[in-house]
Amino acid sequence: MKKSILIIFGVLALLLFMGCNSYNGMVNGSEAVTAKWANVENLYQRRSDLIPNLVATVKQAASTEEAILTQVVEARSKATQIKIDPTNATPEQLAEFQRRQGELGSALGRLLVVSEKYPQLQSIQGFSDLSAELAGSENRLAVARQDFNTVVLAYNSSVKRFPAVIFAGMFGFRERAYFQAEAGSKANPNVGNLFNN
Amino acid sequence: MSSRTTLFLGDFDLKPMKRPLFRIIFLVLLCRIGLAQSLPARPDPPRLVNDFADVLSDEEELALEKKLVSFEDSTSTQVAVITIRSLEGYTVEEIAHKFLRDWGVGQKEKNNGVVILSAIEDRKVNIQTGLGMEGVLPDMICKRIITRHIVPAYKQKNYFEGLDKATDSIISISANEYSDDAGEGDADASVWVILLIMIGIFLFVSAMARRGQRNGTILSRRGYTGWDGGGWWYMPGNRGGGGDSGSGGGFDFGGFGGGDGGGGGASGSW
Repeated sequence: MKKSILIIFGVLALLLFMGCNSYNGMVNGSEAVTAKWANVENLYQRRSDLIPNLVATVKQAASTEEAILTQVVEARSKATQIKIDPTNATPEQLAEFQRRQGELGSALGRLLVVSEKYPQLQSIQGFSDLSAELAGSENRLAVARQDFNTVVLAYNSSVKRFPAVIFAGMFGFRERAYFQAEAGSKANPNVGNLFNN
Repeated sequence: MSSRTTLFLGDFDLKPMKRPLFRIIFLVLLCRIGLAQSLPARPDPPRLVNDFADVLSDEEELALEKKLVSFEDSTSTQVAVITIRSLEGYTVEEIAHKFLRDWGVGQKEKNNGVVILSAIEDRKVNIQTGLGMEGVLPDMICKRIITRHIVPAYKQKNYFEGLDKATDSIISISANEYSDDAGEGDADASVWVILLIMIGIFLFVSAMARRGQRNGTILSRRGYTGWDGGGWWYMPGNRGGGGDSGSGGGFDFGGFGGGDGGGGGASGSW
């Protein structure tokens, strides 16, 4: 009689311990995802902040390229309209966010290609500085998106693993959305060959 | 992108793959596998100049190494020069970032590492800045270093000249950003605190021991002074740890510090 009470008590204590443990783990994971998302968002913001200056500079030297400049400005305003809450964004929302930012990215890419036709533009120091910053933004974004996916992967698998999945349901920890692989990203080259002389 | 994915999923038509979620995870994994393969391991003994493409002579490598190691000694900032033959389809930014992160160029807390990666056959160069260097070496400055110093020299195949000038200018720009003392001060402080606590415990225990044996054997006292002089005070000397020693030559690089980068920097081609 007494023994069974003890056993029940022990099982309850164990459950409580396990619950606390996986709860804390999931909180940590969820915070990591939010932090990485903040980084991603900052970088998109940084890129977006560079654009007005870039457009103004290009206008000085290449005012005939009105069409592409307009495209960039429009893509920027579309991209900045959408805000993502990382704690409950659906994959579709994130994909939409990524699509709009991607359109802005490719409009910017076209602008930079077009601007190569204007030697006077290339000789403006401000322009080359801005394009260097823009390129840096893109590279940082690539890193930040990948880091974001890494923490989401860790978090999602922690939420779905047994027995955490029970507690995840109880406490409302849901899976988070990923960034998709970039369209047209290259096939995997053989890195092994990279360093053979 | 889907053709590759469907092909992939078609090959491994396991049940869970049919669920979109697993597909996404696989997509994520797929884009990570690409670079998941390892770069050359960290050089051992550690070096800041790694000429995998073999475009520098031994003397040139030594001169660069010497300069960079002495810069690291005075500022703790690590500038790594790496040359490779080919990028094998990757972008120069990806590979340079991978080097910076995997090798851990820069100190851990400061993230003050810089990688100058030159891919000789692709004619691409990238200056990759660690997170702590982004302030003093913004992308536009890296770009200027590349266009002013690296590209003109590389066009003449003067790889050493380009790297020499580029590292000179990185050194002069970032000389005042970090100092070695400030960083190691923290490490020193914690070592000293631990040391003090240990001495305190030791004194306390030995005091207790002496009180326990009021009759006092001289032996125990001699033990105490012997320890004090012989063991404890040498501890600060050991704190460097980790670093390989022995390659000599008047300078010695202690190893990469575990710095990280967020993809900052600039690229150029020649």
